[in-house]
Amino acid sequence: MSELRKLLELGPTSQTIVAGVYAWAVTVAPVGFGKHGPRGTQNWVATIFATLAFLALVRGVVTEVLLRDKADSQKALEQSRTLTLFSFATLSLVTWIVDTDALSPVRLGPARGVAGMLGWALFAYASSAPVVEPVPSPARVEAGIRARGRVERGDAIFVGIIAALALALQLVGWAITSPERGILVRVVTLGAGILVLGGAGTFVAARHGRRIDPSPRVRQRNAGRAPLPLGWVVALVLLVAGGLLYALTQ
Amino acid sequence: MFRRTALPLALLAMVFGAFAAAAWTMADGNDLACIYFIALALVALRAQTKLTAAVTA
Repeated sequence: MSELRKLLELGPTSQTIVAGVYAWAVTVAPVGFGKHGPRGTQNWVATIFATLAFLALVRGVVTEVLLRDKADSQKALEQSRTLTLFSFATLSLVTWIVDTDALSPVRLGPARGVAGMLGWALFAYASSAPVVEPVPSPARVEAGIRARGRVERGDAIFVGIIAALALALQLVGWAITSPERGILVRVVTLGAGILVLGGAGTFVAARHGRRIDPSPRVRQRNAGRAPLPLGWVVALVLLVAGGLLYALTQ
Repeated sequence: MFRRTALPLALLAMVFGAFAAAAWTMADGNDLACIYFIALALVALRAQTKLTAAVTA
């Protein structure tokens, strides 16, 4: 009973295992336990390796439970996590190699492919950056810490609009028949969305920045004026003019 | 006001418009126009970043 309680209290360390089980259930188990043979036969070698991959995860959980409360077990825990990562990934890879037919587009639908990709990404993320567990020490009160600034309502609305526009870019190009061009459009729209959000973030951050002028004389001379990045503005105007000229002459 | 708010906002709108046009032309198969709009968007974005930095520096 106490062992079961320990398992339930794994907390942050269980994240890797949960992500691993999800990835296994979506991508490895159907390959190992499905019947993809010519007459509905099962590939027993793939079944064995799929089972071993799951057992590698179970071994990781058991080791976490056994070592967690022991003193000076940090190094052993790290070694166990590394072993879990590599053994699970290798055994899953062998399962796929043994039964490649199960990964053909006929058997592996796009939805399951995306779900599996998500599961492996979660497993990789949880393995590379495990959550730091809280240290049970008494809380300290320190004076002089500045409170975080509140997000202004205007900023939130502005960023919300920009995020909606960045998402709206994803509506373009879903009726393309050629897969290569479809992927290119997705790359362009994703990159564009990220850059637009970045530009909006710069603008919002600058709204709350301080203006530091070098001297009162310069401040007086430039009262209310900010310098203009002439080079880039000129390049922009030239580019627009060139595009218009090209469009008009065609 | 113009240089601190209106111009950066106009440039940001230009960035979005150019990227949307790039995606549209890419979906239509017009690669040359797509490259042009991506270049336009990147130059506008750089101008906006530089202007914002100059205003706050």
